[in-house]
Amino acid sequence: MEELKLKITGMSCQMCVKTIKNLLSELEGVINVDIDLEAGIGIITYDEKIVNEEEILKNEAFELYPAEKLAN
Amino acid sequence: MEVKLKISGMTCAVCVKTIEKSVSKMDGVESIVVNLLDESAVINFDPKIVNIEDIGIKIERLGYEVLGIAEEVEELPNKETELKEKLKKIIVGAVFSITLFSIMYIQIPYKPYLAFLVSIPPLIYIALPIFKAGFNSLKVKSLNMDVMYSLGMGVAYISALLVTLGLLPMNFMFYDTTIMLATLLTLGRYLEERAKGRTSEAIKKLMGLQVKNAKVIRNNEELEIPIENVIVGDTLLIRPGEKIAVDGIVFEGDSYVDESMITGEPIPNPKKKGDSVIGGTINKNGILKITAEKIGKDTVLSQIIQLVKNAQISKPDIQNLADKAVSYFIPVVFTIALISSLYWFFNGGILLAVTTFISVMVIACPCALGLATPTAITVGVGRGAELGILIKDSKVFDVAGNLKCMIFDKTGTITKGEPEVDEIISDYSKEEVLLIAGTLEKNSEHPLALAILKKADELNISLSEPEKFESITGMGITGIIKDQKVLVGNRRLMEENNISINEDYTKEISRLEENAKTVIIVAIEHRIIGIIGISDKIKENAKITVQNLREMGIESYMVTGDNEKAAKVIGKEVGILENHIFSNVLPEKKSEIVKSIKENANGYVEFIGDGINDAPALSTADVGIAVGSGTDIAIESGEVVLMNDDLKYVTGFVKLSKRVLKQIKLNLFWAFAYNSILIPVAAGALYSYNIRFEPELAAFAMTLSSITIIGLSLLLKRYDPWK
Repeated sequence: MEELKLKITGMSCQMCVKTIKNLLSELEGVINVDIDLEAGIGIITYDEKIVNEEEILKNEAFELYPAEKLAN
Repeated sequence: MEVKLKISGMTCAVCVKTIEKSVSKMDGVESIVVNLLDESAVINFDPKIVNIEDIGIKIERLGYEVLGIAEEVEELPNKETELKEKLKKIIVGAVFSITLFSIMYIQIPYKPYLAFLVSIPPLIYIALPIFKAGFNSLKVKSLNMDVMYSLGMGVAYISALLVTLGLLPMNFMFYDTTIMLATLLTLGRYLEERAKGRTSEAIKKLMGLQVKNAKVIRNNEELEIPIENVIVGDTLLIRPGEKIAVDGIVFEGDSYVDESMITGEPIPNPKKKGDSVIGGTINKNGILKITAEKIGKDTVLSQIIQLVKNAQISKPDIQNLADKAVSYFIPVVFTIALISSLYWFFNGGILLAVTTFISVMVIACPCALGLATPTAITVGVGRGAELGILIKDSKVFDVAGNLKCMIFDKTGTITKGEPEVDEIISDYSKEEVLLIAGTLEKNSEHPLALAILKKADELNISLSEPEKFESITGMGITGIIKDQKVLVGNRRLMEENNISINEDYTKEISRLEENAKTVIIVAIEHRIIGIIGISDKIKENAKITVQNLREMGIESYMVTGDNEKAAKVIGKEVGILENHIFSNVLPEKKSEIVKSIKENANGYVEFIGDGINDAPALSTADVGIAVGSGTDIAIESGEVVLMNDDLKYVTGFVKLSKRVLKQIKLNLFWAFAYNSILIPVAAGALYSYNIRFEPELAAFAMTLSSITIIGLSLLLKRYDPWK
């Protein structure tokens, strides 16, 4: 299990958070998505055997809400 | 292809962008415009490439719910082209009617054939849509007016065809009648639609108040951005003469703001730091900086627009009466037409029978009946909105006719709800008493404390900090100032602390209480140094309102949580009878009192209160009236919201609702009057006096009855309840 910490921009309400979670949940290998709306930070837990960082970042969610990887 | 989808779940402007961005990337989608306000998306797409289901699924994947396809996309321009199209039909119809009419009266060869040929283009262009509509409603087994028109016109045209075929004599040639009927019907509808468009002008006016762009300050930079992009917490800059974009709170600047369009209050209100402002109102003279508090559909203005829209489509009971009447009306008229034409067939021949049938069918158009209530309500609700009287449910008009009791909540409704210090009795100076009381009360949020602080502020008394303080619920505050023990509170606080009140003060306290004032006693080191009388002022128009209501046959009642003495004094001052005053009523018991008044009243009961804690009472009454202070309105409770807390709006509302009810009744009267006078005439009741009702005239009379009703309803637009 790996963790990906992201700085997500553009969210302004709880629905935006839900949107990102919804879209990411369709991605196989994603185990958990934690988003702090106030801070604009998302922590994605995933199974590195099924999916990798790059694939996650390519998800539609991040086309809508641009995200950048944060150093752990 | 353009489709409008209803979407729920969007809460912010970013949600809008998210959906737009995501859907617009789909193949085949040409454009998408999402509207947060009415929770919809208008999508233009190529049905060959993508279908609406896929688009819906895409939106649902994002986490929003697609409720379905909205009723056809309503667009104003469409309505206008429709009206123009009708007008064209009317002109063409008029030209052909005159031509056909002339053909009947001149001697030319092959007249029947010529008339037939001339009648074809207008038949297709003008009459066919009416026949189609009639046929469609027959298919769904509903006898509506289109069916009646079609029957009338159909009979006329068939008889004309029979003439052309040589089966009937020349005077049965009704080509001109058919076309003229169709033209007049179209004219009637054209006029109706135009008038209906005008009745919703109030909504358009309100919508016109909405601002499209806002000037925000972000990162110390002034930006002009579309209103949808404003978020809660943004700083907005409003210059003199500009409209305030959203609901917010002033944090910098002083200015006068014209709120007449929302509250009906004609005089601009001064606004300073900390005051609320409403979106859509106009900033008069100074520059204001505000913090956005409510945006989109949460703003007062959007809520008002929604309310007015809903009220205009809600149906009062009296409308059900009209609807029922229409459904009986058609079979009755059809029977009359059949019987009378049968009678005239045997007593005057086939020509008379046919004319009679056509006349009756056409005259008995129920459209005036159908228009009677909605036009009056649309205009009335719109007029109310203009005056700052928001009517949310048209049932208020049913109640208006037999309104017997108006129950007032005291604090905030009859009184201003803002206690003020109005008497200080002391051996010391006023300032000293206020200084001591104010220093302690500084730490309290109690309304009475606020009154003392306000007074101290007015007199420019600089308050110091107490060394210690403690508030005792229901009694007052104790503390230490400059090493001295200070008590500020009611009689009980003094008793508990064994402080005796001398005779002079006892007398003064009783006098103040008899004048409905709350008394605060100030003591230092076990000695009383003064008393403060605080009162909640009665609103200016309270007395005249009670009196005006009485003149209209409505008795006023008052319920309050205050003590009996205070309640009676206030009741007396505004003219409410003593046995109509209910004091010491806990908020949750208010609705029980309303219920008991309702049971004993020989009519309807309305409750008027300031909304929030009165909600149960508001809903128990037949009609609940919530008084708003302009910005902070309890828009959910009650059927009526008065945007201005001036009590003259209560009489204003009562008068307006009575006037609308009167209008509905008057309209129904006219609708029935036209029919009940003209149907017998059309059926031939006066043939023996040689008075005939020609079919053309019937169509004209029918149009006239609709126009009468619309015209009368529009008079409401200028109604002034205070004149």
